[in-house]
Amino acid sequence: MELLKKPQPSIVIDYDDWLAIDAPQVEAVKVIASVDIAQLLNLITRTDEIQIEFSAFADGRGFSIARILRRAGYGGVIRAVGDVAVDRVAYMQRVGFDAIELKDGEEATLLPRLLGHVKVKYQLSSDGLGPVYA
Amino acid sequence: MYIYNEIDQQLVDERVNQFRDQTQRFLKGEIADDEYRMLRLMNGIYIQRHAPMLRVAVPYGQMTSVQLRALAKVSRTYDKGYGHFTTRQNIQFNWPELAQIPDILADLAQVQMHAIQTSGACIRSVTSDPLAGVAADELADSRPWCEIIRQWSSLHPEFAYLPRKFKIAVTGSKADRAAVQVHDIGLRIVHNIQGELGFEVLVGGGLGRTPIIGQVIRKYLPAKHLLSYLEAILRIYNLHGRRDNKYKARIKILVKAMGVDAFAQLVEAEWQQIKDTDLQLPEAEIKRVSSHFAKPYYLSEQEAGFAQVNSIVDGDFQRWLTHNVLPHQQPGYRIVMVPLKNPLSPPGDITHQQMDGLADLADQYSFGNVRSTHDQNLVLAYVAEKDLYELWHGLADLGLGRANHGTLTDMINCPGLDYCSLANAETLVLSERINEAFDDLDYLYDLGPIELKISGCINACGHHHIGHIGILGVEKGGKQVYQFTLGGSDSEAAQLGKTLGRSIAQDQVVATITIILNTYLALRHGNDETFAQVVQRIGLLPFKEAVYGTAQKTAA
Repeated sequence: MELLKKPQPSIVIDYDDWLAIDAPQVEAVKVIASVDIAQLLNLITRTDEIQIEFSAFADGRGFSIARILRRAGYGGVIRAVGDVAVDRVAYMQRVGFDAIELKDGEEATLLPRLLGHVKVKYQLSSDGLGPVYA
Repeated sequence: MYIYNEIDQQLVDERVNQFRDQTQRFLKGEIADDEYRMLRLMNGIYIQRHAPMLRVAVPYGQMTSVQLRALAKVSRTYDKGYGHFTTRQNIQFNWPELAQIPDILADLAQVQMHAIQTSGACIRSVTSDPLAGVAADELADSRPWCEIIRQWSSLHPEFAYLPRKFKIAVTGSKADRAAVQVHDIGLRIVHNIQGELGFEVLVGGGLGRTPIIGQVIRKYLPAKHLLSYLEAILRIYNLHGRRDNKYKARIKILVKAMGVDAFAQLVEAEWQQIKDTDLQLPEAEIKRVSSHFAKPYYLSEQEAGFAQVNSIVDGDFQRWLTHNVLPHQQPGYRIVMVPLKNPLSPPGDITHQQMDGLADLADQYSFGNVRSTHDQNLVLAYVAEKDLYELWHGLADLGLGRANHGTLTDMINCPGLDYCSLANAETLVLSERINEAFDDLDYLYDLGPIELKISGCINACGHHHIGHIGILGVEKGGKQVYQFTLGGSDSEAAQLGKTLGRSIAQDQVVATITIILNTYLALRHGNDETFAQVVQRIGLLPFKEAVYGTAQKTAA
């Protein structure tokens, strides 16, 4: 499973701490869902990985953040961390996540069974597929 | 009627398998309650007072006779032999077993039906004018656009975990039969000066505990940009809508807090970035979807028409013709309203025998098409005048020929405390008593058109805010009491009702309605002045005095 293969970076800096030291080039930055996206977009060339924290299962802001990052041309790793849950992974992959960190106890072996259960995709998103009519 | 192609069919089949797997894992304890809750909600399943409730999508209210028979079969096989049509044109089953729901969905997938996004914090099943494609006052058929929206929103990866539910309604007529002003997004089909089709876009309407009439954020959106504009609105809402308080999480609160202009600017900026991408609808796709809604093979006016229909000497039939039958855009045809307002069952309920029988009548007299309305009725939309009398007999035999369309007893009503775990008060007992008290059709006709809408809690599934008479059940000190509002409207001139006064005890509800009606009858200027017009003209004061004055005298 590609999503699980990308190794965790050795150092991840929280976004606010990163800003406090004027955002030098780093391996990975972790943002929360309320991040100022316009500001983040100005800094994306300075990090190889952006981790988006899902603080709760119901919080879907991270999906739009990933989508906007990919649309802006961000080519680094976008990793979902926090309350990820296997049943959301297929949608995460579609909007542009290419790495995930599963909760404890969620067997990575479940993933192949769950990913892409629904293969039909009606909409355009970040995964290179056009809308169904294109 | 849209017919699935292989891709559409594959999607619903795969969704059934996915949900079956999720449910099996939940039943084995492999998915936590909270997590499964969100997964099942996205597929139309609530856990209610007595049992799970399954809400099946009837996208924009359109069904074939084959689908209606399949719904009948589901109610017979897995439930108690009836279904309940909702105020969002969908149908609910109140007694299925959770473990059997995947089988129900598999059965429904065989007739191109599903429960995708009929609940949950996602883009809900799109609603529309039940008279789309047949209404005499129509600018353009809304159904192709509804289907395009249905496909775009189905399993949209970015918008499955919104701050709160999200409802879109579309109308293609000047008269608003889709209540677009009380939806998160309302779309009105309009033409620009060049005569090109587009949409007026409203945002931020809604009922619930903070009722708000939607505001226009774009006067004209070219049709090809429909999806990119919707996507821009949804993205702004997904990022900025409140998530700290579920009562303040709907888009209407965001729009109100930011101001509609500031919100529109954010949407516009986002839209500029995506409007010229693949989200732009190709002409070929619009044509492909529209071709599914081509006019049926109408008979000529000579063959279908029957000018003497008004002179058939049968009083009951003539009353039905006057009240339940509407004009059609095709000469020689009529639209037949089928109220699901049986005095002995909750508004919107229909038995499996009635579903099967109505499916047969639809095949015989209405090109196999049946529609559901947001006031919990059904419609046969393609009836030749020459068939009206026979059809009326057929409907009467099924117990579906009651000529009360548009009258007081054609009320809408949520299921209330009897079924719903959110409700604070019973509502079905009210509809039962109202039906008992107002069973004289001539009296109802004399009252004219009155929309009575009843909700059992502040979530307002019964749309009480936009009823001419609205009733909201609340619990006070362990007792169920009811707040009245007057002067609401769900029409193109949508308006929120104003509170009449202090709450009314359950056993006084019918008496209160009677006083309100008598006040109207005494104060109207001639029989033609409707209830809504009188409230508009004289305000609530005379009604307040009549209701609370009388109550005080009774108490003394």
